[in-house]
Amino acid sequence: MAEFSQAAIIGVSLGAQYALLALGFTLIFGILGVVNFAHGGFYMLGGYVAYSCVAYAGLPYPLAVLVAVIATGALGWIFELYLLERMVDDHLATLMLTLGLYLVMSTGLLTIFGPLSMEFAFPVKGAMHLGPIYVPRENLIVLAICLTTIAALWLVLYRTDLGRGLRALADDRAIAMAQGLRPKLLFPLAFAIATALAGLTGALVTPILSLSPGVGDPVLATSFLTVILGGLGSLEGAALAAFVVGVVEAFSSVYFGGSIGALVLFVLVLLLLVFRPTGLLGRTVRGA
Amino acid sequence: MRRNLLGWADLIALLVLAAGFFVPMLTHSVLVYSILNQVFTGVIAAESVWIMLRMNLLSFATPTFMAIGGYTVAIAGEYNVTDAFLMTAASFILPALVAIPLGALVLRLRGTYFVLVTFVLSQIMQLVLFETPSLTGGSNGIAGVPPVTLFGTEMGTNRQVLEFACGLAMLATLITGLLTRWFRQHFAAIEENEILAESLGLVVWRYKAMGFVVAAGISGLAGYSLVNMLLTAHPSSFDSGTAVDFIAYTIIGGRVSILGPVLGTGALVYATNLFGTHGQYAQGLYGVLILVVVLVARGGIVGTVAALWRRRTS
Amino acid sequence: MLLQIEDLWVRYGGITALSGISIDVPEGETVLLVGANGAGKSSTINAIIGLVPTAKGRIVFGGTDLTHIPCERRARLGIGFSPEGRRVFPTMTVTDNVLSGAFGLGRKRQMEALDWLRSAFPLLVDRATQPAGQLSGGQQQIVALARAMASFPKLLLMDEPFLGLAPVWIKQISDAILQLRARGTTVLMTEQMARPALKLATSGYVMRGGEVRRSGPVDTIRDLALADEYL
Repeated sequence: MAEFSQAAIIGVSLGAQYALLALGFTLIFGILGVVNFAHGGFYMLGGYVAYSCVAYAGLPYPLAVLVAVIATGALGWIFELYLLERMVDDHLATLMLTLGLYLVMSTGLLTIFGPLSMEFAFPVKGAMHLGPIYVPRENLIVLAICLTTIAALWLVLYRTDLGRGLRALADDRAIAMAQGLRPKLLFPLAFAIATALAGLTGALVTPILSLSPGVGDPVLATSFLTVILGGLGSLEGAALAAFVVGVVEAFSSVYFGGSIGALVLFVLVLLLLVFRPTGLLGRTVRGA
Repeated sequence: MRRNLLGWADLIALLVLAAGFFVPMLTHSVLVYSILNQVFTGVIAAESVWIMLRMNLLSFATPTFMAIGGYTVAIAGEYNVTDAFLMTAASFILPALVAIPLGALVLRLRGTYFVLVTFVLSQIMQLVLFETPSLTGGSNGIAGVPPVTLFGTEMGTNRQVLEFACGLAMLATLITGLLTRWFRQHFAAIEENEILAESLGLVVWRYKAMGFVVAAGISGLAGYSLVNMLLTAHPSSFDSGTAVDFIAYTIIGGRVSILGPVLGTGALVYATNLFGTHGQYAQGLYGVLILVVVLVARGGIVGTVAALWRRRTS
Repeated sequence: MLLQIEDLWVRYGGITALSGISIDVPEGETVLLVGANGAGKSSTINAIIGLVPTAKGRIVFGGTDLTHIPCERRARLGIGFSPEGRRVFPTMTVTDNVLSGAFGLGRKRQMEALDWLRSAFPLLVDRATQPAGQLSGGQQQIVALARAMASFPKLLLMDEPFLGLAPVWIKQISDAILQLRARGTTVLMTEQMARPALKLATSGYVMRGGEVRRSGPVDTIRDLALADEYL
């Protein structure tokens, strides 16, 4: 029973991290129609920026996380505004641009920090004992921050003028523009929000997992699995699927060990594509 | 209209590759042999990317099918089955068979799903290799794969390995050329405007699936070439990161013609070797070049050269 | 003259959709573009809002030449747009649909618009939190109309507001348009169904094959417009 509850808690905490990544990814896809291959790169960059702030500038960790969020958001904003924006309607071109950016980012980080893992530890240690269940404090803190961020994102998207504009552009870009919504203003902003979310996740999670130039790829693959499972472009679907992925991964690693979880999830996704191609909560989204 | 089996670009590509047979007459440098072996393997892999790119689909599945082809050869080698013709057929057909259900499943959906699924697939293949040690040797891979035999003769010398890689690359180019020439109008219609092609009665996903199956087979040949070069089948040879390399070769070489993957692979493999022991930094170069190609030189190397040529002659 | 179109040409690839039409929309009037499918009505509307580029000619709105102004800035000059087929934002609630038409106007103006439109169209209150994609065609048309009006535009463009609607909804939409007209809103609308549309308009243009065939006060075009309706 203790094992079960522990797996559940780990699953939920993984799910919250995946949700932050997948929400950003699906936000970019839904609004701009762009598949962001650099998403894992922004996660990595967030981790390295936070690490540098702590290790070289001596900043306290929370401040370092904030700097990482701002840096990844700013880079995302600049990239969208100056490069992606030029060919935002060409799906293949935007895909290749983000892929190119990812290669440049990961090689840049490799050049600066070298191929080895960084000594980057979460500042809060220890564990809480809730009866027989043992929960690391760091996981609880990350979970709390992730859930707060998801709630804040929800508020921005569903309770503000900005969020309405973004969702309108996601639903029907041409008509939204004809209503006076300015993509030139909103697209870079949407991209920046999404990359900042990836940066935040990286800054929070890499101290717990690991920080090396190779951590972007599996993050990207997990984001892909999650958004396919949730339905491309569906925010609610992405959030729900993220927790499914997290819980499946946690339980399979506790009960089966190794990487069976990822295989199980992949088979799950393929089955889903047979029976429900639009994903768990997806709807038919626009073509291409 | 008469359909030519091959176009001039295919013939030039074949001629360029055939030059590989004459290299041993000029040099015995191990470095040159090694680079050329990498180029031939890379060309085969890049051609499988190119086939899908002809239909506006970006495929990350190349290393996945390379692994199937490569491990097929390695496992057969453990039973001393090394006949070149038999193993060429097997390394093509097995990956193609795996691609049939997968293609039928994913290619009915939008192109985005294809990209995402092939990327995840390339990650999953690694796990499969690690999780099946009894078949694939797990993290140790399969070492000591015997060299291929052609008409009963073992092709074990450096020169013979090079010639075999050259032959495989020409075969892959021939298959790619025949496929893209035969379905030229269909592929062009899909590339131009998929929705229009569909409304004109073209069952788009079937052509995509057909292309995918052949591309998978060609990837399998690349896997064969790689295993025969290294005499080892190891998970790291089929790492998902290599998918990005093959995509880079194709895009930077130019997606407009089959000469793109051929010349792009040659140029980038050569450039990568200039990095010497710091090969991992080459991906940064690929990244910059991809950005440049997408932003300012859409045709890649081949397209840009062709455009310059046209400007000079007109 | 609030809107002046001079010698407007629109081409899609090799196909000419509009060959040199001229249309005047005086302030406070309701002008009707009527004609069969493919006559060029929608192309005219889309050219005004900027969804299709002009090949030749001028569109002047309130003294501003729109030709080189991008789509998203035209709406902000005071043009409301209710597109063909309604095109409400399907995943967004009715209220959010309406408010998206008033993007960036500030909380106070938005609430003003919402209050006004809710009092004019009670449907917006009843269905406030329902996703607009779940509504019937007639209900969606009301939402599209309200969205277009939320920025208090000087000119309202309506493309085929009756398309695919049951007679009871045509009546309701007509009432809504009359209500806006009574408030002094200038309207340019297109419609294939000439009969109900002619009741709303002050003047009209009969279009055929990308050209204007006849124009003038409603009474002078009625016979030609109705003849077209049965083509």
